Amino acid sequence: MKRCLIMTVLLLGINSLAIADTVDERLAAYQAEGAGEFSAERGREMWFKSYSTEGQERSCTSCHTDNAGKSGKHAKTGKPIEPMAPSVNPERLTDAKKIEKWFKRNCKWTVGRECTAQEKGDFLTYLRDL
Amino acid sequence: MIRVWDLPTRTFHWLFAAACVVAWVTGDDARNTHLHTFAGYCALGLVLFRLVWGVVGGRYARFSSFVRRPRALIEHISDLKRPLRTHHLGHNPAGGWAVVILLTLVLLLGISGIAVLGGEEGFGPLAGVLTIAQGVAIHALHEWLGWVLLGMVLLHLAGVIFESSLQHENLPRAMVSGNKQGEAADAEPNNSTRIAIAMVAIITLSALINLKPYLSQDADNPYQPYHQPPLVQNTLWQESCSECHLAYHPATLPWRSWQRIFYEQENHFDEDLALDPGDVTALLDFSRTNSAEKINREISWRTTHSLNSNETPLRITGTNYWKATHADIDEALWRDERVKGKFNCNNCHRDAEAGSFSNGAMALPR
Repeated sequence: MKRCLIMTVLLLGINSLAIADTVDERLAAYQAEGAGEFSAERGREMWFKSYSTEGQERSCTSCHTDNAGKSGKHAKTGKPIEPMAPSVNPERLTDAKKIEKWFKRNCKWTVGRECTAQEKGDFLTYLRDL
Repeated sequence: MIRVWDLPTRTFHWLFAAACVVAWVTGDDARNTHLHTFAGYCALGLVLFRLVWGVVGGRYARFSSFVRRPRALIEHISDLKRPLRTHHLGHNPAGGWAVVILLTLVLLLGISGIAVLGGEEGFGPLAGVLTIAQGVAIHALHEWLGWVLLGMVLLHLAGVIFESSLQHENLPRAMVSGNKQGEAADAEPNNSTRIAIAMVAIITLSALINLKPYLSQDADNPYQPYHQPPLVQNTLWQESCSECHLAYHPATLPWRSWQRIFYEQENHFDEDLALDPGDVTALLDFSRTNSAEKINREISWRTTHSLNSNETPLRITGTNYWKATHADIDEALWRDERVKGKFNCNNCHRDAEAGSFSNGAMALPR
């Protein structure tokens, strides 16, 4: 039991390291692209903001719900989406390629354009501590 | 009254009629393939029994007692109005020919049915022997034979009704009791009861064996007859596609459709897939080697053959084969909570993700 607990703590530790590594590396890359200081507050605002795109009101919360710790649902197919918060779903924010793919796909769907390096950095800063 | 039809002949007649009715009723809907096939095997087995019984059976059951030259049939039919025409204790020439033709038709239906099962579903003794194309071609013949059989059965029924009223003798009842009006010397001496019991026992036993898996199934593990091994899968394909929807196997669309999907990835049903070039190459590669043209499954063959060469559908629901096979599905069912749209193949096709779409794995949600 004790050993189990130690293993879990260790694994969680390694995982948060992986998140920290990936996110830090991304943030550095965004700053290299010209972004300034990142703000979790701006990220939060963007997460809840509603955009008029393709004649629809769209927001991150349209699919991810307004609780990042809960499962969401694809707007069109209804397929479940795992929670976004790394504290609930440790796999989140551990793969740079996936981060960029989803930023591009979802910014274009929600905002109607790709997100800037600044916006992406704000986002990650907000999400990493959820 | 004397006995004319021995028990195996009567048992054969009614089991054969029942098997033909069940096969006819279940033939139209691919969801009933398993029952249809069982009825077909029964009918085929009964034909084989009747062929043997026609040689070694009772005197009125033997072919030699009722298969006449075609001229006898013509005379029999043209004689109908003569009041004192010959009275046949066993089959009259028309009835004799009905037996021969019905047996032949069902024999051909059974053989062609096994060929369709082997070709299209990859099941039964001819699995792997016949190609899908051959299976599909024989399927058309099989259906045509079915219509001819229906015609012959109706003709047979008309003949029985006509002859019954002409001779003031209830022929269907005689096929139940075995008895007809006649001289004691003409009676059939043996009833061969044990053989009839064996027939019923064999059919009951095979029905039970076929039914058994249905009894042990549950909602999560429904029994899938004609289960085919899953097609080749690819982790990247599986993961990328299933992030938003069922990972439709490349075997469901032709190669040109997959090319379009990945070349037009920026506009994938309202979303930009944003796949990086390396992933696009890998996904194109997997779909090229596993597209509908490359896969030896009925759904793949029928889908590609339902398209004109200038059609490049992006949706499986855009193919003529899909439309034809789903035309009878009630619109309300697509909106049902348990289906939630036409893109959720797997809510009715339990082997959709594996790419098989076999007849036995289909079930509308209940």
